[in-house]
Amino acid sequence: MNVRLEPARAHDRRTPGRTGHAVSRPVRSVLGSHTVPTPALSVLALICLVMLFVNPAFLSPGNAGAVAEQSAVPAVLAVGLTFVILMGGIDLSLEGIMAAASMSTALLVANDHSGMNLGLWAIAVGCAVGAVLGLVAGTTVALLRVPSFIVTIGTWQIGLGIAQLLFGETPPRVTDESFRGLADSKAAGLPGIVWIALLVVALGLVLQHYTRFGRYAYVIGGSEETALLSGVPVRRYRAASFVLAGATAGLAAVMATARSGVGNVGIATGLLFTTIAGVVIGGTFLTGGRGGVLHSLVGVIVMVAIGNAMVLAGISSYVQQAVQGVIVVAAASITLWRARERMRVIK
Amino acid sequence: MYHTRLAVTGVSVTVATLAASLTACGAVDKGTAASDSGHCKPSAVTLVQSGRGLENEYYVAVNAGARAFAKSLGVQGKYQWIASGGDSSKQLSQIQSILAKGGKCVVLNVDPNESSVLPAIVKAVDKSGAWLVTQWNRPNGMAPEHESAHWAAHMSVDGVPQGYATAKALFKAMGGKGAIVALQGILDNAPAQERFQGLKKALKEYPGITLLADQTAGWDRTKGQNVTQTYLTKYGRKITGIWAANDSMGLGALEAVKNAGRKGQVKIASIDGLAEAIDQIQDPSSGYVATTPSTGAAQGGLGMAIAYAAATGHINPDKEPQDHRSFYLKPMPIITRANASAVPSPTDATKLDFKDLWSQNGRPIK
Repeated sequence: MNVRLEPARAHDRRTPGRTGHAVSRPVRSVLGSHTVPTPALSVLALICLVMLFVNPAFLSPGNAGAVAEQSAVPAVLAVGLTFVILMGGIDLSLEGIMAAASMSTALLVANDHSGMNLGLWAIAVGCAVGAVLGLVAGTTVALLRVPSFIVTIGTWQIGLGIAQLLFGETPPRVTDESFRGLADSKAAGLPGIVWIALLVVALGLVLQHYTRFGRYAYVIGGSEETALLSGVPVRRYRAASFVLAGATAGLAAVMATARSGVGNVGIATGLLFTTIAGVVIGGTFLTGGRGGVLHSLVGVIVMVAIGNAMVLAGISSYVQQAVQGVIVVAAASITLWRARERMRVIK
Repeated sequence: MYHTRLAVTGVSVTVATLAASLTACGAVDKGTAASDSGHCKPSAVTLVQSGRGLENEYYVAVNAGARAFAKSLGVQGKYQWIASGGDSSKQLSQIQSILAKGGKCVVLNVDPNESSVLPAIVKAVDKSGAWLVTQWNRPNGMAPEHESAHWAAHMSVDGVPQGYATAKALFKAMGGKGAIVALQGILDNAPAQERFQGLKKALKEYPGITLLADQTAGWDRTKGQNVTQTYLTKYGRKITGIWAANDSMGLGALEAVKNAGRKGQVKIASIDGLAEAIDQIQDPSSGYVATTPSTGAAQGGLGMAIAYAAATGHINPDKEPQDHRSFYLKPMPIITRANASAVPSPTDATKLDFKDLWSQNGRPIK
């Protein structure tokens, strides 16, 4: 079969009745389309507006840099996860994958435990560890037809187990300064991990818009049956999405390890919540078929900005968790507002 | 006739239930084993240490201490470490299956995953006549001296002197003036509350120091780094000190301070005695001033020793005073640059005297 590949946005129109309307008002058509995460951006703008009155330091370049730095790791995670979710799957294994990748990376660069010193090649190994765990999940989901929810809980445990095996008596400390420099050294005012994250997002966007993999992700998520009947090799693409998610989780672990300077089994504690909530707030449907890399990026930034804003606003630790929960629910309601009228299954 | 019998059964059941509940309310339930203390032969004993997992330096030290005790008896083969992985029901079922196999001569030193799992563990141990010492968490109002001889003792570490002494070292290093931020543990954990209470006690003695803000970072290194980074952009150069309720968060804070280009200018103190924190303290340029020694080996070794003494009849828990049943470990001097190089490794249990069970006892837990 020979499918002509066009950028996704050309296909992604709203219902036909409204299309004519949209053409006459180009601004609205951009705002109303599904390709720009307008609702998530407006939530971000709302946070900025509120913080302008509460504590303007939120908008200072220094703090914007801090938010960017703290968003880098979950943003890379979100890029891979987006494709899994676009196809209607879910990947819960990222905390386990990151544990395994963090421990193996820390033990392969110069460190105080093993005599290894692979230098920056360890980055590739970290990604490969993630990709292999992703492949295990992907093939199990695709070939054995086991729901991704349970399979990735399994690979989460496998990853944690590997990480625990690699742990000796103390966490391995990274002594390779060039590896640490990936995270710390700044270019144009932003630390290295932010640039890596931007690169990954750019690659994710290319993948989403201009490759068969990205385009089919929407088809499979929209209707797997249609995709199958049209001859799309659904299983292969689905397995590939888990490999990609695993590889990005591996890279995220490398970045987090470079940033904190130790291999850590608990390196990803709490990141599953930040990332999945970010992807959903960004406007990627858990049922698949809608959303995208840019959406997830904005969603993740919203999540990180909420945490940052609460510290700057001086909200007591005791109520912070609850406040964060309320904001997440409110933000999700706002971003998914337009989706509410459609004939849509909410899971 | 049939009805009468039923009624009688009913009454006797009620009486039995009443009796049982009365015993439960009573001050001391002697447990099911008839004897007041254990009669296990040393060779029949199984030693079991339960905690979260060995991917955590603290539990590596606990395991080392408990193992050292087993070695002192010459029964390393009878010692086992079981990891709950932070899952309470897993911990309970692991303990139950070991009890089913080993019976009366199982000696357990357990760090309950959370206080709510403890009653079930105590019940299981009591029922099988095994011997138990617990660490850290227990529900309010539940204590070995009121429950069962088979729950020989409960020990914990008093966070107040730890928080107090590390905070004082921090304030001294800051020259008695300046402003700090504090990173707290998970707020409903007793150690988190006690340690912070200690910090506040020290703050009262140093009027020149202001606490700008405090925030939980969930005992987590990355969160500690993120929160500190945010504080550094919020307060900027006003911050000259950071107090963290554990070393992981303190080390995260150190990374944030380094990245902000303020390494050495911002002093840091924390609690737990992780190897990395002790290394940082020895490096004068890091600004890290204090931590506390690890209590893991003492908790593992002495906890096991007390339970073993009860199982073999060396002590009769019911005859021991209250401060031998529920107690904090004696506060240890904190680690600063002056003594950091001489601090023994956290896994070093050679200093522990397993013959003198109560040598490390501090104040009783009320």
